[in-house]
Parts: sequence; structure tokens; C-alpha cells
Amino acid sequence: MRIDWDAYERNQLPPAEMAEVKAALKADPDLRAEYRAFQSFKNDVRASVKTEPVPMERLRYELQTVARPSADPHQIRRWGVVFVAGAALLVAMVARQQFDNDPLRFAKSPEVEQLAPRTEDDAWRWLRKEAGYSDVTPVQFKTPGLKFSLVRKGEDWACMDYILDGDTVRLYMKKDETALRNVAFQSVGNRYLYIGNGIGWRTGGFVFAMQGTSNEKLLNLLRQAS
Amino acid sequence: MFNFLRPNFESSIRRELPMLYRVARRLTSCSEDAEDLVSQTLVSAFRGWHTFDGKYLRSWLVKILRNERGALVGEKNLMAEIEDLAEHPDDKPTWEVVATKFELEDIRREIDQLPFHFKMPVLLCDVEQMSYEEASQALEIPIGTVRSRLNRGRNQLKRKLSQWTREEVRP
Repeated sequence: MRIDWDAYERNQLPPAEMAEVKAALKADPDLRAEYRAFQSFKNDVRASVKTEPVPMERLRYELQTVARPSADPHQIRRWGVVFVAGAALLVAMVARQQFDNDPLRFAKSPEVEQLAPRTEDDAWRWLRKEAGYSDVTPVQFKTPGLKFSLVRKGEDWACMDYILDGDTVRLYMKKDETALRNVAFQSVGNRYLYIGNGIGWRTGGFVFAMQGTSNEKLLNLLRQAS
Repeated sequence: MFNFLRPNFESSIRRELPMLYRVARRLTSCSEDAEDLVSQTLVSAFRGWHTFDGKYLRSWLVKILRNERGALVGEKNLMAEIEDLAEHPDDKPTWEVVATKFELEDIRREIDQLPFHFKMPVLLCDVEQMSYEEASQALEIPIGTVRSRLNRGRNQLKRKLSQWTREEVRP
């Protein structure tokens, strides 16, 4: 049986053939091994390219240089637009002030590097050996369905991105003695946590923050983490 | 009339910078050349932003990147890259079970060695996870051609890696 695994994975086989392949996969261990070989090869190819660092800071600078000398040349400038923009700016400034005061907002400097290593362990290894976070203790999540995505680094922060139920869950960390100093912690299980726009805690000279989904889901993730 | 409602160039492109750089890096010999290629692509994309129809941004950008690369490499060299692209046994996918786990650096090196026409579908479909439709738009070839070149690219890659592994273990 010659199967187009690509079409199968992309759900592009005709329904009858799709059902046939599913049944064959259940019944035939050799076919399952062939499918795994296909997936493994594709994952390796993807990881081989995505593990190379991307110089985000320089690329973003290039983009700004290209895009900012003048506004979009085809944009129609209208007084109405200017007025709406002014009002939006005012609202944004108020929102920004609140945003800046958020004690869990760690990524205040631009992202400088990002990697998509093959595994979460590789990401922690990179953080500890290459990115200057040698003494950070990895947070090991054990929640089924939580999928590691990539690791990013800013000037004074790092972040592991995960996917949970379609949401991107972010675990920020930074070495900062002053962060999360003047906030009220709650005792949850065996941890002291700050619960606000996400969840934060301090440990081993580092501060951590988790954001990206409901606090309830974040707490569940943390309960099952070591 | 409603041009001011068009998506913002900078914020739209920012999300695609890693993809652009990764593709550019595999098409050039060093990171500096890749950055130059991305930079040229950004300039052309900004100039042509009004021509973007709002569909398949990644394909649109890769199309520009390909053109910019053509300008950098020169048409003569591009023609030299065109191999015999007629129907070939490699077009059919084969997935024998290979126990070997390849080193990422070896895979990357072999991707770099692939002919341009096979490398691009592998990069776009397998690495960047574009749909066949997106890859077809980006490469300006029919979907069937994307699939056959993708299979040929993968098969060449597997063959090279297996060869490499065999040579390494030879006493």
C-alpha cells in the first residue's frame, strides 16, 4: 500500500481513502513505523533549520529603517483619520501607563534572538550554556497536551513559549532583585505566587512570570510542574 | 478609497522576519549575505505594498525574495541551477523505516547542497509548514509540481544523509 503521508497529514485525502488509511494504520504495525519514519524525518528537517539563531534585533532595525522614513506612501491622510488617531493615542497612553506598571511585564526591551530547538530540554540547555542563564533552575511542566514551541531572548529577559489548547503560554524569566518586591503574594500549594495579569513568583535569584491564558489554567500547569 | 484600512506594513512584516531570514540563510553562503537579501526584500516589499492583495503574505514575500536573489545571483547562475526537471522515479514518496537519527547540522548542510528547485519546496513546506497552495503561489508553479519537487527534494536529502551515515561508519 503506497500512501501519500503528506496528503494524509494535511487531511487532503478523499474521505474514503482517509478512513482506509486510518484503519490500515490501526491494523498494520509496519505501516505505523513507516508513518513514524516520515514524521521523524520531517521533524528533523524542520528542527535543523529552526535551531539556527535568527538575528531579530538587526532584522527589526532593517525593517524600521525601511518602513519609517515616511508613512505608508499610499495612505490617504484625512483629518478624520488624524482625529481618530489622536483619540486612539490618548486611550493608548492611558492603557500603556497601566501596561508599564504591570509587575509581570518582563519583556520591556526588544527581542534579540529566538530559536526553535527540537526539545524543551535543548531550549533550557541553550539558555543555561549560550544565553547567560547558567544558574536558572528549569521549570519542568508535566501537563499532557502542553507543547513546547520556541525560546526567545531579550536584553534582560528570556521566555519559553508553549502551546496549550491553541493558546500561547509564555514563561518569562529574568534575574532581577527588585522585580515583584512590592506586591502581595498568595500561598498556593507549596509556592508563594503573585496573581495578577498572569502569575509570578521568585526563586533562586530569578523572577518568573507565566501569561497567555486564564490564571486558572496557569495555576493548573504550575501545580503539575516541578 | 479605504487605503488607510490596509494592514500596516511594519507590523505585518515583523511577524514574518524569522521565516524570511531562514529562507534567505539557506539560499546564501553566510549570515551577512542573508541579512543583505532580507534587507533588499524589505525595500522591494515596502515599495510594492500597495500591490499586495491581502492573501498569502508569506508567499508574496518569498516571491519577492526569490526575485531579489535572482538579481543578486544573476540570471546565468540561475539557469545553471535548472536541472532536468522531467518526471523522475524520485517523484514518488518512499518511506522505508530508517533507524538512524541524523545530526541537525548534517541535515542543514545537505539542505544547503540541494538544487534550488528542490530546496525551496522543502524549506517552504517542511520547515515553514506552508500549505501546497501557499508554496505554489510563492514559487509560481502548479501545486502538482510543488508536490513532486518536494518529494524529489526529500528523497535526495534522505539519500545523501544515508550515504553520509554509511561512509561514517565504514571501518
